This record gives sequence, C-alpha cells and structure tokens, in this order.
Amino acid sequence: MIRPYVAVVIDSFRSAFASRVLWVALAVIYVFLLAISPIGYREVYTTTFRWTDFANGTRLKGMLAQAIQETVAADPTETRRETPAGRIARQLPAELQNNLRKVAEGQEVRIRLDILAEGLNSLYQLDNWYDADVWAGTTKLREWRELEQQPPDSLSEDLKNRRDRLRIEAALPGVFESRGSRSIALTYAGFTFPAFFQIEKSQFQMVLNHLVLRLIIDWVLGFVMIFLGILVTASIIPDMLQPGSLHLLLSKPVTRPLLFLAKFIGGCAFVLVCVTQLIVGLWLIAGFRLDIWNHRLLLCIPVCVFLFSVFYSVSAVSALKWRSPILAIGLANLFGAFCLIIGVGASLSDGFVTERDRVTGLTTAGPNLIASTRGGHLRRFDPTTNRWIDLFPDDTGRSDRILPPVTLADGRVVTARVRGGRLNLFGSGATPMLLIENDGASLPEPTLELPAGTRELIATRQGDLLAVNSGELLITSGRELRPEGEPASESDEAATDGDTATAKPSLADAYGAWLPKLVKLMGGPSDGFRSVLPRGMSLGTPNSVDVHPDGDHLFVYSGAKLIRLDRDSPSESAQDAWTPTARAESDLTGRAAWLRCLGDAVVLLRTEAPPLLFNDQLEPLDIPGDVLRQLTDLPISSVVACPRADSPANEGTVVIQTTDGHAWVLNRSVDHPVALRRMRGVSEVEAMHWDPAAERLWIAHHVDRATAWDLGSEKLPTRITPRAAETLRPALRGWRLADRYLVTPLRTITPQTGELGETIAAIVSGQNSLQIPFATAGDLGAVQRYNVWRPLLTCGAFVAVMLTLGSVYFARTDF
Amino acid sequence: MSVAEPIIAVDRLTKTYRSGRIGGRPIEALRQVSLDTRAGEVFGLLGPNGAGKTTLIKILLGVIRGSGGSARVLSFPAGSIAARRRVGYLPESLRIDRHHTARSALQFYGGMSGLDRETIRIRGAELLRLVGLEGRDRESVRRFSKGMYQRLGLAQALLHDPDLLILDEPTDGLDPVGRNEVRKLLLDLKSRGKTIFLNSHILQEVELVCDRVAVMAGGQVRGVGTIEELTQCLGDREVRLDLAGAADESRLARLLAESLAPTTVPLRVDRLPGDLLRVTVATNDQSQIDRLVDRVRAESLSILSLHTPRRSLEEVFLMLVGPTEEEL
Repeated sequence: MIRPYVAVVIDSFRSAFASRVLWVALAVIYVFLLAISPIGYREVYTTTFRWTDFANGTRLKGMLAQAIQETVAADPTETRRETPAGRIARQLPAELQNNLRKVAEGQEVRIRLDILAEGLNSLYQLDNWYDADVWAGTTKLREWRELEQQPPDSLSEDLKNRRDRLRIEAALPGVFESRGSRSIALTYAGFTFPAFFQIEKSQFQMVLNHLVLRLIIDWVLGFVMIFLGILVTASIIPDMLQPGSLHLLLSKPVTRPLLFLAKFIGGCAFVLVCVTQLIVGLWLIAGFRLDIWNHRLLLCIPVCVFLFSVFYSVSAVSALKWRSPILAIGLANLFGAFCLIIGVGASLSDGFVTERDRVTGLTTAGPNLIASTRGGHLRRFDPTTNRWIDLFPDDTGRSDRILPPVTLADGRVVTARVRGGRLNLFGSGATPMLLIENDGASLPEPTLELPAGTRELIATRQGDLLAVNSGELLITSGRELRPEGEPASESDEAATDGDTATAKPSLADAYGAWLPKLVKLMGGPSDGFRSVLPRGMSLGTPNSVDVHPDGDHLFVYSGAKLIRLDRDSPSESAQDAWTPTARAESDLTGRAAWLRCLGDAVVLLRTEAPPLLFNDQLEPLDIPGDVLRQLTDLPISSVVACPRADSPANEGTVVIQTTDGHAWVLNRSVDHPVALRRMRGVSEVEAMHWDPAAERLWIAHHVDRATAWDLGSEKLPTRITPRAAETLRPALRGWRLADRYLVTPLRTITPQTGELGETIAAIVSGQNSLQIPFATAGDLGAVQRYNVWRPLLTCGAFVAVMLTLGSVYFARTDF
Repeated sequence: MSVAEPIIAVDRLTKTYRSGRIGGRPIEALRQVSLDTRAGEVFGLLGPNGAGKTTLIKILLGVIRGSGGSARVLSFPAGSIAARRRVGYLPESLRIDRHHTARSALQFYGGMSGLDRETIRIRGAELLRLVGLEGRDRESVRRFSKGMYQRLGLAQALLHDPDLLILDEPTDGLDPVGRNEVRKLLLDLKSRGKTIFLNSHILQEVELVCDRVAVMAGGQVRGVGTIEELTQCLGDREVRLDLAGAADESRLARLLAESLAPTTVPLRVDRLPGDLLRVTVATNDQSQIDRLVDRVRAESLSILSLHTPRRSLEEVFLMLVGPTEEEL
C-alpha cells in the first residue's frame, strides 16, 4: 500500500510550489532562458581562416617564408619560378611579408597564427593573386573543381570566398586542418555575433555538449541550485518532527522508514521542479534555435536531482538527529566542502602523480619492454625488481614529449625526446633521435636528427624507419641510425658515397644556408631522411600511413586521397625511391584517420565517418552493414595492425583502441569479409604494440601495467579468442603508493559529486570520453575519459548508507 | 474481534525513559498501567501534567514503544499498522503545514490514511460541514483561528471513518460555543457506535460526555470506573447527623461507638453553635446507620437532619491524584 507515501511525496510538491524561493528561482531560470533563447545560427560556407584551422603553423610560416625568399632570390619574371605559395605570399600585408622575410633569413621572429590567418583572409579582397596555370600542379578537390566550372559571375560572394579558400588550401598543402565546406555562424536575435567566427556544426555540437551544457549544468544546477535547494529543504524534516505534526503522521498507517524516505524523496521535489524547467528550456532552445534535438539532455534531470540527493541526505539525517534546520544546512555545506577538498586532492594526484606515469607508447626490444609516458619519461621494465626503470638519467620537463618508441627490424629501439613537444609539435630546437640497443640495459644514445614535427615513427621489416610529420613522409635506412660519433661500417660508407655521388646538388649549394633551414622548419627532409611522397604531394589532414608487411608497399592516406607507393627495385633507381601505383579518393570527413593493412586489404578507419575497405589495388570492397555501423560509432584513438607470418594473404587482424579505454579486434578472412569483436577483459587501455617476433599484442593498461595477449591459435579469423599470456604489474613507489592506498580509498568512500559533471557530459554527448580539441599538435593521445560510473556508484552508495542510517534512527527513536 | 473484547486493552503497561546522561536516573513514565475501553463508550483519561496520559496515548498510537506489559488496540498490538488504520487521532497541539487549505489538508491526511481522492472529496465535504468549516475549505490554514484549526483536526481524524477516536484535548482553545459543538459532536459519534478515547483537562466536559473515566497520576492509574462509581467509591463513605438536645459530646461518642460494635468506625461528635451537636461517622453501611439512629433516639435526642454528602468529580480527582501513602 503505497498511497500514504505517495500522499507525502505529492504534498512535498505542493509545499515546494508554495515556497516563495521556488518562484524566485523559477523567475531567474526563465530570465536566463529568455536571455539565451535568441541565440541561433545560420549556415555559411567555410571561408574565414582562424588560427585553429592550422594543423601546422610552422609549416605555413616556412612555406610562405620560402616562397618570399625564392621570389627575392630568383628573377620574378621567370615564370617557372612562380609557385602558388609565392603568389599568395606576395599579396600578404606588408608587415607580415617583412616578418616572413626575416624568418627566411634565419632570424627568430614570432608570428602569431591569428596574424597569419588575418593575412590569408585579406586575400579575399584581392583578385590578382590567383593564376590557373600556376595552380595547375596542385591537388584539386571535387568541390573546387565544381566551383571552377561555374561562371564566376554566377557565384555569390560567399561562394567566391569559398573558392578562394580552396585555392589557398591547395597552394599550401599539409598546413590546414580538414574542414567541412559548410560552417555555422552564431547569431543573436537574427544578428551575427559581433565577434564573427565560423565553426563546423560537428565542432559546435561537441563544444555545446561537452563544454557549454556541462558548464551550465555544473554551475547553475550543480552549485547554485543545490545550495538553494538545501536552504529551502533543510526545514522539511525538523518541521515533520514537531510533536503536533509527527504524532499525527505516525498515527497514520505508515512505516517510519518509508515515511522518512517519502519525505526525503519529497524534499527533492524542489530541485526537480527547478531542474526540469531549466533543462527542458535548454533542450527546447537547443532544438528550436540550433536544430540540435539532443534527447539525452533530458537525462540530466534525474542526474541533477541525484546530485542534490547526496547533499540532501546529509541535511536530512542531520535534521533527524538534531532537529535544527540551521545545523542541517551547516553540515550539508561542510560535507560539500569536504567532498570538494577530496575531489581537488584526487584531481591533483591524478594530474601530478598518475598522469605522468601513464604509458603513451610501448614497444619490445628482445625480452625488454620499453615505454614512453605522458610525463615525458622513457622507461624499461625490469622484471627482477618488477619496476619501470627510467632510461633518462635526468628528469624530463613536463612539457617534453616522448615519441612513442618503435623497434627496428634488428631489434634496436628508436624514439626521440621533443623538448617542449607537448605544447608544440615541433618542439624547441633540433631534436636528435634516440637509439636504444637491444640488450635492454643501454641508455639511449643520440643519433640522426628527427625531422621537424614528427608525430609517428614506423619501422619496416626491411629495417627502414619512416617518420610521419604533419606534411611529409620521410624514410631513412636502419644502417644510418647509429650513435653519434660512431664510424659507419665500410659497406655503409660505400652506400653513402654511392648516394652522394648520384645525389642532386645540395640545397645549400643552390640557395645558400637559408633554404635547408626553411625546409627543416617545414618538416621537410633532414639529414639522413628522404621524402617518400611523389613530387608535389604532401600530407594533408587527416593522414595516416601503413607499411605492408612485405615492406615494399606503402599505403598513404592524406586528406581525401589514398595512394599506394611501391618501392622501386634497386636496379631501377640508385636511390631508395617509391612510385605511386594505385590511387583512390574518399569523401573528406573525420578529424583523424587510421589506415592499416588487413592482410592483402587496406582498411581506412575514421572518426565520425564510416570506414572504407580496399583491396591492395585500392579498389573498394564491401563491409557488412553491422560492422560498418559499429565502426562508424566507435570512438577510435589508435589502431595497431597485427600481421602474422603464417597467415594467408587474405587474412589479417587489426586491434582498435577506443577513447573509452577498450580494445576491439577487427579481422578479415575469406569466410568473413570483416568481423568486429570487443576484447573481453580489457579496459583502461593506454597504448598497444604488436610484437611481430613473438606474435603477441602488448597492451598497456591501468596507467602503467602491461599485458601480452595471444590473439588465438586457431585459424584466423573464424574466432578470435584473445588470451592473456603475461601480465606485468609494476610495484608502486612513493607518491603512487600514496595515491593507491590513501587517495583512492578516500576517493572511493567519499561521494565524487564533482565527477558527476563528467557523467552529465557523457550523457549529453553520448560518449564516454572526449578527444580534447586543439590538442592534436603536441599531445596526440590527449583524451579525457569520463568516469561515468564511479561518481554514480560512490554517490549512490553514500545516499544509500545515509538513508539507511536515517531510517534506522527514525524507526528506533522515541519521539 | 469478539463483542466482549475491549477496543483498548492495556495490561500492566510500563514505560521507562532512559536518561540521556550517563549515570542519570531512568524516568518511569508509566507504572503497571492497566485499563480497558469498551466498544461504543466514551472513555475519559484524566490526570495532572506528568501523569503519563500522553505517554499512554503515544504507546497506543505506536509513536513510542512500551518497556513492559502489553497494549492492544482493536485486538491488534498497539502501534501496528492494522490498528492505526482504524484509529483517528487528534493531537493536542495540532500542526498543519502552512501551505495547506482545509481541503488540501484533508486530501493529504486522507491520502495518508489510504483513501482515494473521490472518497476524500465526498467525506471531506461532509466533515467540513459537520465541523462548521463549510465554505472555508479553500482558505489557507494560516488564516485559521485556533478553534478552526481544532475543528479541521477533528475532521481529518474522522475522515477515514475510524472505529476508535483518540482525542487529545479536543476542545482546547475553543470558546464555550465551540466546546458545546464539539461535545454534541462527540455524543453524536458515540450514538453512531464510535469508541472515543478522550484525554482532557476539562473535568466538566469529561463528566458530561464520558461513560467511564480513568484517573492517572505519577504514571499509575489511581481509579477507573463510571463517574458514579468513582464518586460513590470515594465520596459517599460519610454520614452526618445534626442533633438537638442536651448531651455530653464525649459520652454520646462513647455510646454511639458501642452501638456500632463490634465494628470500629471512625466517629466524631462536634458541638455546633445553637446548642446543636453534629455526629460524623465514616460508614455507608445501612445497618450501622440504622443502629446509630436507634441509639440517638434512645438518648432522647432529636435528629434535625441526616446527610450523606456527595463529592464532585473534581474533589474525587484531587483526592485521587494526591500523594499516595507510598509517595508520602
């Protein structure tokens, strides 16, 4: 018989509506909603450049500086010297040109990205910089071709600007982030915002869901509303305990625990009423004004009420014990302060202790496991002490970035420490690569200089090393990788001499010292490295590279283009050269892409876009609908190919790491075009590495643990049954020990109310993690994983304990 | 429940409050209290402040638990949900939340008694009319006087048509007219077969409406019975004779005592102004009184009046709640 308790809850609503504070709160909410309701948007073509549009600002600076210098150095009237970048550079504002000229001369000149963006935007006002002949060699996207085919007079101003932007992007390849052709411009009451900016709708949705709504809910609901709610509801229980009221209530056919619970639920009525008004208002405004009908937003109502219930449980039990509203308010606030202190302490521990040890890259060198960490450490796992041993004798700065280490065919490990690389992909100053011998005990020794802006190193079976930076794909031979000062072997000398003998005159000889410097600045070939890409091609965004297991084919995805490069046979070319043998084109979508060989096929996985499958001639293959849908929705953060020596050519496996810390196995066979399964027992994945020698997948997880997985011995991919073969659980020391045994237990028993903001962000966005925007330059793996369940569990357990205490106390006490 | 079974049956009920302080003395609020209330009667509970009346009512309603003995209400253990379902209660200092109107308060308390909305609507309208709040049902209780408040409390106690009404000072704060109305209402309810357990300080009210009364003091029941029984038991034990004629007081006292022998009865002879004598004998035995009269007549004394004085309930109450020999 629940009618009596329903009556109590209904009465609480009546009481809430009778509260003047509620009406004041509702008035404030409606004023707020009215204030934001005129916000709207209009869809425009993506034209204006912003600083966030630059994937590689340094390369842009270098290209423009080179173009200006070439114009100065060469005869301007010589048409063969005309380049698209040169024509653009010459039309930039004079001051910017001067600064670029200084860059070209080798001076340290800081040019802000927004100045460069403004300079490029100024070209829209001019019509003398574009020449179809000069642009003839550039890559023309379909959209641009279509615009060029239309008579210029038929184009609107927006479309002309769009066309100009595409011309600029084509002239400066490898510089820009991929952007959709349409953006949105925010408006207020029909007027465009004074500070005009364009943003892609997907970006806008991301910002709105992950940041704006979370901020509103965190602060307006999570702070103001809860404080207000506690003030208003603190007197409910003391009022109930007044003799004339309590004795009458207890004379009714109710049980005390349920009466207390009903009063508690009723106490949440105030917050429920306010929160519902605000969130439904936000939902309607987002839907009607911004065309974002995000029904998940409505789920924030119960979450916010749940958050309030945590504090109200403290208030209610205090009121039950001491019958004083003031004491109840005071204790609820003290409890809030306690939660805040624990939350801040735990966050600091996360940031300064755990986060620094989080593995970002993993590789094997013989029996040794080498890892890079987010805190800028390079470590080797020592099985005797069961600890990670730092390979750098000195402490690294927090802003340094360790390039994920890779193992060469001969077992040596290559990596690099990019000074200041977390904030700037290019770091500060020249960066030598670091070589670790495969005995595992050696310290890293410097070797060749790392090409500027390198994001990823890839080792081939032939012993070569590929460096992928923001605009180039460079290769060096493993034999050129030797510690500084170590003499080359005779065969190496001979090979180097041979290369030198047949090489073209050096850039320094032709143009002086400034050009090689600029080329390096742009991420071009440095000493020991050669470009692999065909002439005139550079890596656009998004991009990805994979080497076929045989080492003689490369697959490159850049922008919307897919290309296969085959290594020329030694007889055809004295130098190591690569020739395009197949091409394909995709639609330009997604912020990031991963191209991986899947046996003799190639799979292209993209964020926010469906995957594509090709055969080795880059002819499209079908992907089953269910796998297509799953892969499209998967929040991918990295992908590792797992080639097996004994697998038939038409079979292959890749393992996908998702931003929420899970791993998925994608495999292909004759029987199954592609099949996707989640790896059971794998969570909190930090990094992955395929050990081709042992044919094991190493997964770093839970900060710095590592587990080796056998991907199943039965015939692939009929059924993949990964089996943990070996797990490394490093012993904890120092602050990690304090974090494990002090901070974590405290955090576990304390309701993590602050983290409910993450739950809300996860609910609103429908994702368990956030790929941090604009962090891709230096910190490729910057992902914020939302703790969706921890706050719900800690808060839920806390509320349950408090309500049980309250119920028992209420039931056993004589009033 | 059988017909003979009492509506309220309290048997050697005790309640001891522990002192909040360590080493503090426990307080015995009820000491071996036994009483019963029969179906259809109005039972009054009298006693001074601190007598244990409220403690007894709280135990009957389940607000607190007894420390020993037993209490049953409507054949169910006191405080059980089954018992409370059939009990209507009006507390002494009724407190209805200020956001209510009379109508919404009845909806709330009716809902708490498990009634559906329609029943509440119909019964509520009847009861508001009955308690004189008709037409004021949409008015906020903030504007209600103490009397209106009490009447609304009475309406909520009656809303679910209970078999037993426990009323704690129902006329408290009411003017004489209001008290009269409540009194009539109680008699009306009684005529409808309701059992009423009434706790009141107003002896006149108890005397007028109660069939039986229990007087409590010091956590004990000092007397239970009808008003007649109580006053007879405690007030009619004395015979007073006023005599005219010459006689020595001490001699007369000795003679009269001899006439009552072998029983020893307290007897006193006083001289009154006007040469009159007053004989006061503590007896209500008619044969003794007859012998006393015969002896007086034998002494040639004229009996001017023979008086058996009847005590008021207040006198009985005061006599009962006075300190016991044990307490003295």
